[in-house]
Amino acid sequence: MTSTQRNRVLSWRSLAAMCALGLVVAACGDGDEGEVTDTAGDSPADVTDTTADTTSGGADSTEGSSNGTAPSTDATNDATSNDSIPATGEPVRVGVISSYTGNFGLYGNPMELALTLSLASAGTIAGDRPIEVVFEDDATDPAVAVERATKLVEDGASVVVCCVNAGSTFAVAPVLAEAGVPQITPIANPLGLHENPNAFVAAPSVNYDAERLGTYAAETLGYTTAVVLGMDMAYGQAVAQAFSDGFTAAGGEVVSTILPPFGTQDFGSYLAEIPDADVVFGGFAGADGIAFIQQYDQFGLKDRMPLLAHGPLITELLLQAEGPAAIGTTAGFYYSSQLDNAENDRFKAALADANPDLPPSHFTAGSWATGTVLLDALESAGTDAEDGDVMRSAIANTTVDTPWGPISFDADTGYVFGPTYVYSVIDDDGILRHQIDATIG
Amino acid sequence: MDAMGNSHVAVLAAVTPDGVLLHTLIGLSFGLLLFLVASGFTLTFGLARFVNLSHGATFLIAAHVAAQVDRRIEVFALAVLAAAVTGVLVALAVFGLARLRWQAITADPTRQVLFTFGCLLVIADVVRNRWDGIPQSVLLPSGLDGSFTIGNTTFPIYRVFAMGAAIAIAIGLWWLQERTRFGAMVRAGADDREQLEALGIRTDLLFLAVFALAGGLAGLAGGLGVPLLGASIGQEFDVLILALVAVVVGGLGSLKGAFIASILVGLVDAYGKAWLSTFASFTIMALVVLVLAVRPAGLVDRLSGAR
Repeated sequence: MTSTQRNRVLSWRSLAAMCALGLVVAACGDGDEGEVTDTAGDSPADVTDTTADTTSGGADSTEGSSNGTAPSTDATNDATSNDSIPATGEPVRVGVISSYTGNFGLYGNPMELALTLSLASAGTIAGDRPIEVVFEDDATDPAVAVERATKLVEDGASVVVCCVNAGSTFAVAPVLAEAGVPQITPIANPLGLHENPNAFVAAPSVNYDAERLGTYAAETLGYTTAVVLGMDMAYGQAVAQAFSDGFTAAGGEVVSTILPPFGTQDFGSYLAEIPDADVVFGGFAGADGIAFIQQYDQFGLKDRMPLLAHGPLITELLLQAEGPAAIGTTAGFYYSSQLDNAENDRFKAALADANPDLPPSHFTAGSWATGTVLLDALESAGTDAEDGDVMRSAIANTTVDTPWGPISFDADTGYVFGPTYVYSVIDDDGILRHQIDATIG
Repeated sequence: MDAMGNSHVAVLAAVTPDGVLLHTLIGLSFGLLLFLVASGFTLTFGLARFVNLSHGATFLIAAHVAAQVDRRIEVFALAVLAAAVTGVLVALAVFGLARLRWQAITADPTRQVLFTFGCLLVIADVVRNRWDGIPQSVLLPSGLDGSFTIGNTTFPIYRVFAMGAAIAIAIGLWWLQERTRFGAMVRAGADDREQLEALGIRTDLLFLAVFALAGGLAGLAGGLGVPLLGASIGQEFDVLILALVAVVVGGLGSLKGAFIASILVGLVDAYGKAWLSTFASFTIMALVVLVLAVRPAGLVDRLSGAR
């Protein structure tokens, strides 16, 4: 009897250990989907053809085993980067780290599509160099992102597009800086990369738009008190702080700040703690954002206090999922699909053509614009695209049209500056969409 | 963050009667929802000593199906029904797979954990691919979509409805287990399976029924939970961990324990978020540590108590 009981205790102990191990493994991310896309050719087989000349075992290069072929490409390029031994015909490698799994997993596929569409519009660069894009998943986890960045550098990426998740963006920056590989962040991210000359953000910082919205809320909308909420991670902290700064500098008072953990699903208890104020600011994104905006309505707060937000809370990508709860919410942001310019029309048409069910949003617009930046920079770097310094100054000197107007990178910070659009969610015959109310700057 | 660092801890002071009522209601509604998942888990474990971690993914896929059905035909009741059916089907699929190597899998808890955890990952990936990882939600029917006020506080009507539904299901489960022949067989099977088989009762059919019931409960939880929590990737783990906490705190295999513990977890979660928001994710684990330190077998010790 004792021995059976002992066995049971032992096996339950091992079960508990397995549980813990399993959860840790899952949390560390299973997304191991290194995937090579050849944007220039029509089929992956073309990658094989173009790389076969320069690398051995090129037949494997289309499937996950990019490890096998890439180092030799890398070695060739390293040896030859400063002499101009024929780099023509060789593919230029672009690494992309995005989130396909984890809390921001929903952004991965749409962003990949938009970047691919944008790059495909050009075919080859610098004469006959095809562009090879390697997409990696960081599972919304900075530690995984660092791993992926290291791998991309080893594989000879000329430039790395990264990341969706602010934590990952910052974690990867020093790795790429040390390797001398430029980093382009495709969507708005918090300030903090400005001291890194190697990093570029193809959007205004999230602080920039949130602070301007804070000022606008106090000065133009006339609110005097605000409650500020934000998800407790780099992005949410940055927008909550920036909104508070703008609001208080313009004479407003922040009566309470609440930072629920990243990944909160039941916001009830936080919402119950919101004191009365003129306005509430919500700095949430992804699934947290949907839950927040719906529960804000369910708990009757929407009828009591207007909700202000930074772009991602009412992004068009999630607007239909949020439903009527989102109507009336106002955001300050650099992009809305409602912007009226030729490049935005071109982007929306290309996206609708590829996937009519996917609404344009700053995620896809940002990826599209990043593609435009890449094409421009790679074209001017040409055969020297593998040289980090050349590539860096090529990116720094581009000026391109994006769906939110012409952009160039600020020489001091590496971010982009531009107008902040203030828009609200309206119900347009059963379809929710943005309506632009005002433009700041 | 220094300027704000202190202010969200400072909510500690805001204790009002209205606030207490509101947090209690929030905790109860979340806890009762949790009970639906935990009950299925604990039922399967109680009868078959089978640890079915795929319950988290059953919740996830059922929640997505409910959202999809609700968007298509706009009848919330049917969406919840579809979620329950999905839960049953998923649980039966897991059961069917396990039957292929039943002896080997049931002989070793480690294999059960690995097998069902694998099922969880597969189901979650199916959901991710089917819905592109985009979070889903439902539109509540009029009548359930509003909120009502008590004193100075506002509470969503739907949460009251969900609480009522969960309590009704809990009563039904109690009745099923204590007052029916099926329940008697399940209880007997949990205590002494060989004896039950010797009496001529086919335990494989009993297992099938309990797996289906457990899946249905997780599915119902998914369906009823969408309006509260939405449906999004990641829930398979969030829900699973909370359900595991409720099951372990309540005492493995005990429905009553799972009920008490689920409500306790809901309340601790609600008050933890409200009063110690910085440590919100820590408070529940603190509950586990406290309970297990005092009562290592959980609140209701079903396993040794029955012997």
